[in-house]
Amino acid sequence: MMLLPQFDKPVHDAQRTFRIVLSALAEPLAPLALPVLPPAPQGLLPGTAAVLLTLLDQEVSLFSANLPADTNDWLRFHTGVRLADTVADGDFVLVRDGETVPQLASLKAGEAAYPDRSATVIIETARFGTDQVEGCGPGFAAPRRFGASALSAAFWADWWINHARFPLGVDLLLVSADAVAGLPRTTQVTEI
Amino acid sequence: MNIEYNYGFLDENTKRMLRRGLLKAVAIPGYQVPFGSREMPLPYGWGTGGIQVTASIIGEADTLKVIDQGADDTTNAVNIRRFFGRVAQVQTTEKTGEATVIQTRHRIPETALQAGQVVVFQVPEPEPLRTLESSEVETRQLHAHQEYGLMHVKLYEDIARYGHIATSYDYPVMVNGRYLTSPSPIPKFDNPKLHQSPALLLFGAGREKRLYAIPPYTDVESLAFDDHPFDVQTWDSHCALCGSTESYLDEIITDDAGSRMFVCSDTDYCATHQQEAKQ
Repeated sequence: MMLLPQFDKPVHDAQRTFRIVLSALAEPLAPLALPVLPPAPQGLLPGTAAVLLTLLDQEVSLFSANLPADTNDWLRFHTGVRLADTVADGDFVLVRDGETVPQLASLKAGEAAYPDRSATVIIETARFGTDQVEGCGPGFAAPRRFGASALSAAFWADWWINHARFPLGVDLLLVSADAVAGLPRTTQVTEI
Repeated sequence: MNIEYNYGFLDENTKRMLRRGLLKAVAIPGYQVPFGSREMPLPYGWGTGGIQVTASIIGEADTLKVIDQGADDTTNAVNIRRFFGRVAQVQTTEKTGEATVIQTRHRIPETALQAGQVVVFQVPEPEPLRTLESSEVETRQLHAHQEYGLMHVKLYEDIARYGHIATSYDYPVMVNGRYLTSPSPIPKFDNPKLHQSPALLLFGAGREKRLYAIPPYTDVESLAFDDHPFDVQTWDSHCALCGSTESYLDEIITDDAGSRMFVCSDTDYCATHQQEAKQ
């Protein structure tokens, strides 16, 4: 089995991807097109592959349930990431399309003195929409409407709990085949 | 000798560490994220924190502006601009409006910032409580408990002693109503520009090994009291070169007989203003 390559130009492609991810988190719930899409291994969207290649290395751990063995090998080879045994240990938690989003309170939320030691959750979604919630908070010039096919009403109820724990909590990156939207713990949502 | 560095000087592992730190900094506005600061080819105090932040975000599509106290043409600014021109092959500019990334020491440009721009601040002391409490363990606890009485007492003592709050730069702010944050040693004149800024504001402290951020459109409130509201510096005179009455002015001594003039600290703003006046 041949291993799929990573970014064509690892340094520049990761930089361009990071800037989009940074903008996505700085201005939440506004999906942005990812500039570079590497060939995606089995079971991952190309957008997810780009985000993982940009953010992961041997200093962090990733939790993902039932990732195909080839995809595991691809991740380990290109990023050197450690795989976490339980969802509570992951610095990054990957939720692939179709999987259930874990209870956010079960993830690493940081400590009062170090709220940055918290998980970043990457959730794959087939589609973005504007039909679920309206968000406001830091990064919103005006309230914005948002929806993602991977997220349910139960998730948004769970998000309230996550938001209310500020400064503790987890931050989300929602990734489609070719775009990313951020949802930091500061974002307040109301269902519409 | 021609030494080839990795793009942007830093190695990719360091960049990823900084990038992950920046994402958490944006998610927790005003909170100081620790990071493994690297040795840079210039000493601490010359902007190593800002340079590392810039190096971790900059790319070939960027246009970089670097200012030192508002000026594009001072040693620190020229050197940092040339450094990134060399190690990151980016375009550089002195025009605030043309820049995508602006690295700054101690000023925010007078020209209004735009959405999509990133401002990187060089920070000597990221901890606003440090002069009041020397222990990092203690200040972490104070932030954790949002216990900022010390700072209010300090400002109150100013009022008791001088009749007004005497802090004129590095004036402490509350970010998003939660974290007490140092705006870096910008004059308090620039503090209002932090509030609901359309640009993303990133802060890097190299010696102290801390990153923090203020996302766009975030509430930033300068501390004050109801009966002593926050106000900024004003001048009786205007800029001697461009005539501006709205910009932050530097006082320049012009001879040894006590003659002086006031000029804009922001050189790009001043030059643009002079050009406009000529036309």
